[in-house]
Amino acid sequence: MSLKARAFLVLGLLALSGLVVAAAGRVWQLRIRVHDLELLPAGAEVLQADQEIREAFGSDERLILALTSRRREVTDPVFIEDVRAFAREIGRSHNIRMLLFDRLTRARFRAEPVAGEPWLLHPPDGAWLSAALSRTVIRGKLGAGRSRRTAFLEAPALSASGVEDIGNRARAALATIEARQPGEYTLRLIGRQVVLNGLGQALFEDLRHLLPWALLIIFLLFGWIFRSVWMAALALAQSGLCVLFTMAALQALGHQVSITTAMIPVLLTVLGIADDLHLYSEYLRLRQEHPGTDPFTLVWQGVHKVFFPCTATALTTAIGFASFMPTDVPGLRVFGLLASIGVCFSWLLTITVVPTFLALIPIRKLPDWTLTPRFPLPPFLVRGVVPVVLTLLVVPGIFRLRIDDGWTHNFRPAHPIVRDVRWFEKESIGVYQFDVMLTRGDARSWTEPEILRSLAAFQASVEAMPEVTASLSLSDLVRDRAWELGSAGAARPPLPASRPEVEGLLQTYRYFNEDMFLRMFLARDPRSTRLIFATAQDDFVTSSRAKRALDERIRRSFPPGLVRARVGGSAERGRVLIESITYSQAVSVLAALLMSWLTLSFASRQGWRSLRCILAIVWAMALVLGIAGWAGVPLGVASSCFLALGVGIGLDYSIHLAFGRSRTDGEEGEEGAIYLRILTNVFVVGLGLSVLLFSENPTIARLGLLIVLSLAASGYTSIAVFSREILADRP
Amino acid sequence: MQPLDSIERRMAALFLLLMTLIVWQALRTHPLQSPAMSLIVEPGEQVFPAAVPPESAPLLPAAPADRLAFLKEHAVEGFAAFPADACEGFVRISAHHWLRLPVARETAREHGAGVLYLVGTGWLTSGGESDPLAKAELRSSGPGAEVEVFCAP
Repeated sequence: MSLKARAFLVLGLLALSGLVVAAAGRVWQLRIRVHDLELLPAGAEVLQADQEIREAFGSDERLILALTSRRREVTDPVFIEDVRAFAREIGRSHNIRMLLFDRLTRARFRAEPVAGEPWLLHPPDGAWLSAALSRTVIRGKLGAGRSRRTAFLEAPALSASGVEDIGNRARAALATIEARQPGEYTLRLIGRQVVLNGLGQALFEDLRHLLPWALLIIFLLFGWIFRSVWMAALALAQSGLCVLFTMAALQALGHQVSITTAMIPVLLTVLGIADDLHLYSEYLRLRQEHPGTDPFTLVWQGVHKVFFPCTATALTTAIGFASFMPTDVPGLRVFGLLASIGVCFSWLLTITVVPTFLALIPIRKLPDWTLTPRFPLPPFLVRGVVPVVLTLLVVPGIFRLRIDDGWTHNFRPAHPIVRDVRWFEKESIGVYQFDVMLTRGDARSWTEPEILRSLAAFQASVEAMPEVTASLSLSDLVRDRAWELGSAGAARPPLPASRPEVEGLLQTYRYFNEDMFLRMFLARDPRSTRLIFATAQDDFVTSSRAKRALDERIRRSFPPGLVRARVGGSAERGRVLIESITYSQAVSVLAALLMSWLTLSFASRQGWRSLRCILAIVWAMALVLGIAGWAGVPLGVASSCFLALGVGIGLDYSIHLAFGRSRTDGEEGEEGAIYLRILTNVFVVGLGLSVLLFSENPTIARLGLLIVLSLAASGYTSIAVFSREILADRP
Repeated sequence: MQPLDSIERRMAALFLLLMTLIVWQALRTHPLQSPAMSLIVEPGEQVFPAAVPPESAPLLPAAPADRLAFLKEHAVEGFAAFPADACEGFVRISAHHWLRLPVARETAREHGAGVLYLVGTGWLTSGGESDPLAKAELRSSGPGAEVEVFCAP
């Protein structure tokens, strides 16, 4: 190596080291944040509905603090006192205290003086509470659990860090009452934000475990295939650098790691080495053919040989990911952007850093397979009856595919968060709710008895839906208060017959310092009210069924044009989110296929050959969708990503087969060698990505399965589509 | 390194074009902002802790002017219209909050301004507005909820 080349090498190494240090500093600042809004289209109707609801009724995202006694019911004086002490302890924080709700033990009116005290409201005793739990909705459904051994407090859940803070305070408060009643209470924190925080934590844990395993697998496979620890280490370094620079770019652009971008490190780790595999093989083949030639000359010859297919595969993979960018879903846009950036980094590293170091690696003995880089291909497997029968058997499974997902599907069923959410669904109203804002088109108020009765009738029809576990509306507040002001022995009263009586009852919410309760159901403009109902489960099927039934009941209950209904809430957001993600993915994949075909055709001037590449991947995806359909694997937010990833990775195989051979006149075809590389690629990348199968997140594990299947299927279909060339290249 | 063929040059050009597009998009893709918290409380409106007021009842100032200011600060507004000549009545609803209602001057004259006691049998919620005074009687001694009456001279 000349002095000048050495100087360039040293300078290059210094520049690379500087970049690594700067990138590591940025990655260190990255944080994980999971938010459902990032998966919703920015213009989604449900977001507008939520915005309107927030503006009319205020933000009411809540964290439920469920305190369950081992032995006592909530009517027990000891339990009541402990709940108050627990609330007081949490309420030491001013910000929490101002928005903390205790619907169970709050003071109530009784038409007699409070013994020894000069005020009007009485603390509720056990007997009165017992009656209230069975006759009122707010206390009966929100104040205490069905078992009557759980008291619920509600705290604001306005941010992920806020929820963590409240969680810590609640645990500290539990410790103080535990000191009085050791072993008596169990505390559960329940809420949408708890699930999202838990998911962020689980994603981080996944990354911590899966990434080292993916790196180890790559190292071992490369070491085994190329019989060189140094070459394996180089592949590892390339993957590591690719992930490091990509995540640094994420931080530099002001983003955080999210549910969509969390899987990118593992994907890039494995995707990054796919081109290395071709470059290494080509370099070793050239070393075998030209033993006396300078390694730097050979490695750049190798780069030249694989430049077109590697650039084409990087380009189509980046197009595949970039096709998410025009979607309206922020999370998918960032995913597409980041994955495309990663593919570009990987390509840059493959044609600059990797060849430089590859030439420096001492290679004492070349692997035997580089002498005859061929592997027998049984023709019957890829031509004739077998592929046709396979397709006819598998592809109809597509018609059995179903979309299903939910936030809790991202955890193992035994995960504490899932257990708590399921417990809450049985014990109370459930975490995921529909929020229906009803605004009258005329000037009439929902406090008019006739109109309030129509709301109650609508609520009853909603509550009759099999998916619905509980509902709350303005009519509950009116009837609850009417009962609370009367005799404890009386039955739950009907709705009042006059508007003054309704409004008089509602005014007491302000007088009793409970205006916040009322404002959640009646806007300042009394033409707008709200119905909240919870569904039995948070999955897509349940939410979709509930939404369809809700739309029908709205149509039946209110004359067209008279009442405008806006549907929001976490359950509706979840439903729209899953629907839009799967739809966006399908559109993006179709766009990516079209763009890839146009790009390949333009660059190669071989439209038919390019189209064969596209057909191979479409066939492969159809096979995988068919298998998923027959196996009952549902598609959801994460698992439907396999389509884009499968296209991005799987298209590489047919591109290498179509365009990887020498285009120099007089050189022999090399499809046999390329075919062997593709088999190796499927094996290495497939095994590397199979670490996703061990994810703690079942949907990521399903995604891993579908990607591995996609790789195998696209390897097979690429070989089948280009089988004529491969078989013709037999020695 | 050997010079690139035209096919490779085209591919490289396409790749550079894509990288440019990605950089352009990267600069246009802004981080997601969470929706701001919305409060339906209007400026100047009284907000109290809904669940956990301080453990002990507040100590009221002795001087009438200070006392009136304190009560106003800790009182929710009633819905009834406040006639210009009415006295201000503060009904003690809980240990920590009061309800500000108009008290007719005649009533105040009858009992004298200061601390009165509300002795009643129920809470009237009909007749257009909720009124704790309507069904109850004001007396100058307890037991009952305190009602402090302030009349402007």
